[in-house]
Amino acid sequence: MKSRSFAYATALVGTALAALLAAPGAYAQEKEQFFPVLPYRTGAYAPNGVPWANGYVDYLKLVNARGGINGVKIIFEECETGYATDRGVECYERLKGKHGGATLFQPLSTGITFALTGKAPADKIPLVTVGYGLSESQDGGVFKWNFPIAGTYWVAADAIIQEIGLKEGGLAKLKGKKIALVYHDSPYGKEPIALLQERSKMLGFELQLLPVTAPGVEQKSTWLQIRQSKPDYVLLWGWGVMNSTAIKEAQATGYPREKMYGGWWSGAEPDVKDLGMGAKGYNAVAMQHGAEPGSKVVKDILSMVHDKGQGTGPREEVGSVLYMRGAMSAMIGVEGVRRAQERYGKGKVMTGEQTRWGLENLALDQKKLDALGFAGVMRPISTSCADHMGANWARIETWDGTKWVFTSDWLQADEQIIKPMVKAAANKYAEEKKLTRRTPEDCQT
Amino acid sequence: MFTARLLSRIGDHLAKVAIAILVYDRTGSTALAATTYALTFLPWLVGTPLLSAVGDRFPRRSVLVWCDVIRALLVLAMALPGLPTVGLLGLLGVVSLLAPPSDSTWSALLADVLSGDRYVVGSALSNVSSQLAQVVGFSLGGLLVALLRPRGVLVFDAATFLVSALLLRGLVQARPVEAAAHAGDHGRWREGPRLVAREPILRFLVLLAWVTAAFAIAPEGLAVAVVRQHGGSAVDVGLLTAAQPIGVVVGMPSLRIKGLYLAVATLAAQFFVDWAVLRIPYFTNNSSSGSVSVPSLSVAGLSIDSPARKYLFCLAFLCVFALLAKNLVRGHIGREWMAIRDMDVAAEVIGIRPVYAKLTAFAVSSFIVGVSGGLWAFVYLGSWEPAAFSIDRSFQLLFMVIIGGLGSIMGSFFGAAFIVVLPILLDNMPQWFGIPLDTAMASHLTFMIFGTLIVFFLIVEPLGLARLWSTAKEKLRLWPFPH
Repeated sequence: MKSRSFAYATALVGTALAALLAAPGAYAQEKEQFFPVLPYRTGAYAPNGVPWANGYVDYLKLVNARGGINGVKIIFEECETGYATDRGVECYERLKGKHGGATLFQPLSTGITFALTGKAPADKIPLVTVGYGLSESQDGGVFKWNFPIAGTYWVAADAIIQEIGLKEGGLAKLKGKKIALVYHDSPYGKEPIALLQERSKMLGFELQLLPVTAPGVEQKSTWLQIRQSKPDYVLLWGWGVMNSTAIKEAQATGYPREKMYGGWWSGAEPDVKDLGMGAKGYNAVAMQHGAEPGSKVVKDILSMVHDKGQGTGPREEVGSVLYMRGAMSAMIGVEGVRRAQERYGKGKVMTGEQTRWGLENLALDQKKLDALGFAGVMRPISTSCADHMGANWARIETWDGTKWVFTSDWLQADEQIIKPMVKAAANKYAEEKKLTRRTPEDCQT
Repeated sequence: MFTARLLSRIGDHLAKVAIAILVYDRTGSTALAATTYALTFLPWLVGTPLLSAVGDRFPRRSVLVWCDVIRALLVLAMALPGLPTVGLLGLLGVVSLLAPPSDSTWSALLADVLSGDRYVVGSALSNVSSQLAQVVGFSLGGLLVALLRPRGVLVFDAATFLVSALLLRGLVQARPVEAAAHAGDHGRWREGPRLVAREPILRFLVLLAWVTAAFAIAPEGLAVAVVRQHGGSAVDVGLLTAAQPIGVVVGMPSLRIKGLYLAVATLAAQFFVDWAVLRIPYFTNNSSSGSVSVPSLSVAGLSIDSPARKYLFCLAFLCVFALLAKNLVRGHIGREWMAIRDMDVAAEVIGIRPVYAKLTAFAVSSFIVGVSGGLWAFVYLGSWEPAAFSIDRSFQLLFMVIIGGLGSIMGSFFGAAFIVVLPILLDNMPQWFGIPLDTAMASHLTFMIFGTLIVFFLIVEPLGLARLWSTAKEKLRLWPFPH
């Protein structure tokens, strides 16, 4: 009797295990490039995370509709992170080996980027952080696997300072002025502080730092302080619900919105739509692109993806600021793979290492960008071993009550200031983590 | 009397830090620095059984004064330049040897000076002050070493001994030796160890106490080496060694409150720590982004980088701690906790000290949670910012214990599995069954199902999953696996 019941038990357990193990093993060898997507469609940052994710996925679908990357189709899988570092790490671990291996990761969160920066080199998967991440990861000599393409927070902060200087009639006129930074109390919000302090020393303006506890719904005391100290300009470095709360509070305390400048993650429709005319005059720095409903890529997405019923998200969202950023991020990833194919074999599936080379040798000139549909939206991007950023242009956009319009010329961040800071910070990182700078031979591979 | 003891205790701890730093800086050897630290404890082993009787043979006040004076002179000798390291360690051993007779004489003198209720108060006060002395001594130790150099601190320590001796001589009354039948004392000290050696259960308990102490004290012995290797200053060393007593000191205000109020008080501590880690740059190693990370982990030359190694590393910790916890619960401390939990007034009546029981509960749980937090942050996450330890994390820990089953070790395993693994399973289930589900919807569904299950379990089985498991085991023994 005892052995029979034991046999039953073993049989039961055995079949259960076999079923569990067999199911995922059904994936055969595939000729597809796997793009994992790490969005946050839930939580306090969802209003801004959703359009970015929709843009990203829609662009990947567009590439498939156009025939893939030289014939290689893209498959993608979403994993909800909720902007939490631990869930991001869990998603990374879950997706990095699926479907033949992840091509690259774009975590859309500076916190998750910090965590993955330590893991990605070991797994040989590049981290693309278009417009966010560590500012010092621009230095490819230390950060071999990080790509903050098209801009980092120091570029954004510098562009804002230059614009304020232009408004005042010259950077020298900033001496004696007071600039307040209302920032999200997280690694993301603290990023621009280093550059702003450097500029404050150089130009002689007073920098007032006002942290806001995450997620940023309670800002009454912050804006009370602003009302008391009356800074000349307020810089907003928020995300998600913190942005709209800040502008609402500015309206409530009567701070002129024209004197407010947001980072490029604080200048999108979800932040100002509900306020409408109340946010009129609010400025934000735009990382090359703004809201581009008239661009060719938007038209292509609408015709080839949305009209076929494949659209992720509502049609009205296509072309909004964060949607465009998601599409741009996807485009950069795809072009990295395409560039890698030029060296390692056209029409083949690229590994993470090969994609890393592609991302490090991007040469997107204006002709290529126009062909892809980004004419008038982006400027050329050219990365190298030493410079993983590729471009440092930005513009200022202003909310006119109903839409975002560009109100400045192209601004270029001052490399004289940023390059030494990047080098120093990268060296410090290398020292802490006991890494060595890459040799020139390593750059050639 | 209290001032004298407080002073000499603080001096003691100051000297410990200073000497450890001195030895490490001189020799660069971690082993020697740790040995120095151990030397301050070893003499207790020899001194307590052999020398404590001194307090009964001679006038107590004189014993105390002489002990302090001799220690002051020895410490001054240690501060002499040109003393070889061996000599330093030898002198340290002798100084520590004088501590047990001084301590036991002091306790006996206290009984003479105070009587009845006042003795109880005095005894409690002495406990508090000794813990405070540890905290103050260690933290100040680091600071003073940075300011005065180790030799200066040794001179300071000698000064505290002298001041304490003067206070005792001047302000405490001399009391005559009690005429006593102490003649037969010579052989009595042997009875203690003999009793322990005879009973296996006592042997195990003593071994357990040694092992636990070893784990607890080992980090302090290594503190100097660790901090120096990471380029830290003397202040950091002092703070590191003060960490443990700080936990006890922080736990003390909570001793007078219980139940819901205690929960709320610890919640206040949570927000304070949140704020402190964000606003005080020292806690995040002055990093500009407020994010903390480690270069790479390695144990005895083996680097812990692959998931398998990380898992085994954490598993090792888990096994040791689970074993410790299980045995602690079955021991007398665990029984004290259970008695206080069931009916604290009755427990106090039969002689269990509620203060001690609550403090040890705080200390042990803080230690275990601290270790697990460190492992989670550095082994799993790799790099984290203060938001990773938000109030949600605290709630998760609380729910793990409540759902798993309060008062059960097995329950914490069940609770942890429920809270950590179930959301991941629910997230993945749509894929396994081939149902195409939008990730946002899947995430929301996970929350809803998770919440419903929590409510369900608490209604069906308020004692938690552990109780469900033991009930299931009993039922399974009837059918279909009778044995």
